[in-house]
Amino acid sequence: MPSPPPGISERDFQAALRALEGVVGREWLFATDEDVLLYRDGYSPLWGEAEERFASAAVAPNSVEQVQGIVKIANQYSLPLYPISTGRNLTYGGAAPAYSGSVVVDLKRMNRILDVSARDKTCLVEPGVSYFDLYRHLRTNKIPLWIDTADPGWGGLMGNALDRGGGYTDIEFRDHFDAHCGMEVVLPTGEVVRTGMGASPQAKTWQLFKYGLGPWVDGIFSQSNFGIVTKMGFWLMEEPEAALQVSVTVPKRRDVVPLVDTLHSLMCAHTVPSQVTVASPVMGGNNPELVRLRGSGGASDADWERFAGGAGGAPFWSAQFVYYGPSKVIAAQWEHTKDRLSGIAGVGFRETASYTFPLSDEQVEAVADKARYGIPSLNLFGSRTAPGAPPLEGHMDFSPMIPPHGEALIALTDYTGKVYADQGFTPSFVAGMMFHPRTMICFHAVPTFRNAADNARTRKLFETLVRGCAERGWPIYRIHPVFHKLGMEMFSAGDGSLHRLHETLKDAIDPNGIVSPGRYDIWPRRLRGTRA
Amino acid sequence: MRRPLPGGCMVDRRSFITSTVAFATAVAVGNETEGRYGASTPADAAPAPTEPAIALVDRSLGGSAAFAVAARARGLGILEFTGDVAAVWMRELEPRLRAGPVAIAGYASAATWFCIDLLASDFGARTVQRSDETHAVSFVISQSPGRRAALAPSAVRAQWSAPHA
Repeated sequence: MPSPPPGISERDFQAALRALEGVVGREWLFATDEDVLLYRDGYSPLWGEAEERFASAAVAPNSVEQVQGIVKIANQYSLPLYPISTGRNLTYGGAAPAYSGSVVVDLKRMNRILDVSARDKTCLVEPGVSYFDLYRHLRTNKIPLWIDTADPGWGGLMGNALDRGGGYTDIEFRDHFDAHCGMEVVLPTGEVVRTGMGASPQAKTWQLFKYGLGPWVDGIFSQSNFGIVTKMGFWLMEEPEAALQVSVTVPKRRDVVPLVDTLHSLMCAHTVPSQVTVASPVMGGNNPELVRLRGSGGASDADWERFAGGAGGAPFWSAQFVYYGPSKVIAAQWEHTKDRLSGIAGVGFRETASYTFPLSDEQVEAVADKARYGIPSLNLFGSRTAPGAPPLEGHMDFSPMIPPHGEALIALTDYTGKVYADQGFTPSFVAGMMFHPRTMICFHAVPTFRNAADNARTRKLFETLVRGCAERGWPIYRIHPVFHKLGMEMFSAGDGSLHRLHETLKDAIDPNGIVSPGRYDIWPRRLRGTRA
Repeated sequence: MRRPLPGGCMVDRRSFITSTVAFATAVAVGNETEGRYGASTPADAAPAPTEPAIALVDRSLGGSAAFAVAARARGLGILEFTGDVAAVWMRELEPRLRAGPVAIAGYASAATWFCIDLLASDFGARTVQRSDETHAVSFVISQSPGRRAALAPSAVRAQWSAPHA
């Protein structure tokens, strides 16, 4: 039987559950061991240990009014809540709460697509709407709009946006939080707030203009615990006439500097519209000597370049991206891109796929790189596991952010590769992902296990990476809940003044500290110092 | 546990059912305390298992053709895909799980099984059989016995134990 939240008696917990049942109905309160296991983080770096984060129960409301009712009861019993939307977020904690004993508020039943405007190219959705749901709605109704999906595409728009996830299409859409326009939030007091133009009761521009009047507060509801978001608007991409996917390759290790500088410039000028991935087929190779070089912490360019080029050899770097729009415009953008990059000796240009829209179902199925066309996919899992191989036990994403500079990408991979090797791990393959035009996110897979000894090693690796990269100017943009405290410690300017501001806001907005205690290390006053 | 499969690479309907019954019995051992949260399902409340109606087959894997032939011969509808199961999930699997109860047999990569198992759990389904094959895993995911979950359809919810129904 799940344990009550810390500090709450069994009697009060049972009373709180009965009250919650009165709000949502008996069917939608989940409080057995088996029930709460549904909310376990399958990739937890604390798997099976006393500190692993577990829910004490879950409750699944179907309306804003029920969410308000849940919040009211939580205030009465000081019951910690942990709202989730679709609850995926694998590698960043899944559906497991940041604070053990929290009651998960499972918002999957609130999965209505409230509005899609083909004319305005917007939508308004509830928390449980998945990428699958919205994609299917647009396809079924032949609405010529695209979603921008995370990859893998099994999550939901709202949860991914609120954790500041990203996708692959045009910049206006692939920063998922930036692509939202207006939200509705149930505050911890039970009050309902609509942000932006939604605060004006008759406004016809809630999903069209973000700011409304006065301070713009939407940002405080991302990566935070200041409320339960129950509606969110998003901008959607108009289906383009065509798309062209291309690959640019360069032969030398240091060529990454002009390659990234130029792509950065082209992205800022809106010539290259899509996400750009800069990867090294050489540095990512599985040859034992390449793996050794990855962990050497500073192999020379000559050492590396022995493995590049030659007859049929790999280029040292490749960049993948997509143009969207009228065919004539795409052709001009591609020509301009080639002109700008032609100064790099040995540069190669290749068109890898081209499409004219709309696509039939059969054509959709044949698209190799679906996320780049707003098509939710689960192919990422298949690419990580050979057919028939046992599934990986799990991993966390370590996601430092660097400037869009090739030197930084080399320095980062030299550093993190050595950390992995020094601690007995195979260095992770790393690519520079330009989700945002002015930065690169460099995802590293840090393996997790189903045994405590190996997970102790993996936690040490993760902490070393977080601290070491922050010291070098590469802090993370997002982090697993087990490491929220560590992550926020890397944002310590002004003797931790940002963190103090977060907790000042928490005290004001959530005086009883009921919503997601500890998320991103924001603790309510009553739990400060426990840091459970 | 690896279950020997007739024909070397397939699961027949009998083995689906046998394993499902065994699983239902295994999970039905409870310590029910009337009216108290946290109790489990009593043994006599376990519903009858559902026979698989459809078979999900990744045609890119060795042995998939034989699995599909055998499943078709036993009256199962075949849902084929190549590598990425997302389109089949959106078009076929999720609507069936939403309407449920349904059981789905599968022959796919371990990664695909992992995805389907997790996605289907939102609809009150669970893996009741999984066998590692040479080129793939075969499995049965079923909404019967129904697992409590936010998106479980009413027919599955009706199978939940009385104290929680």
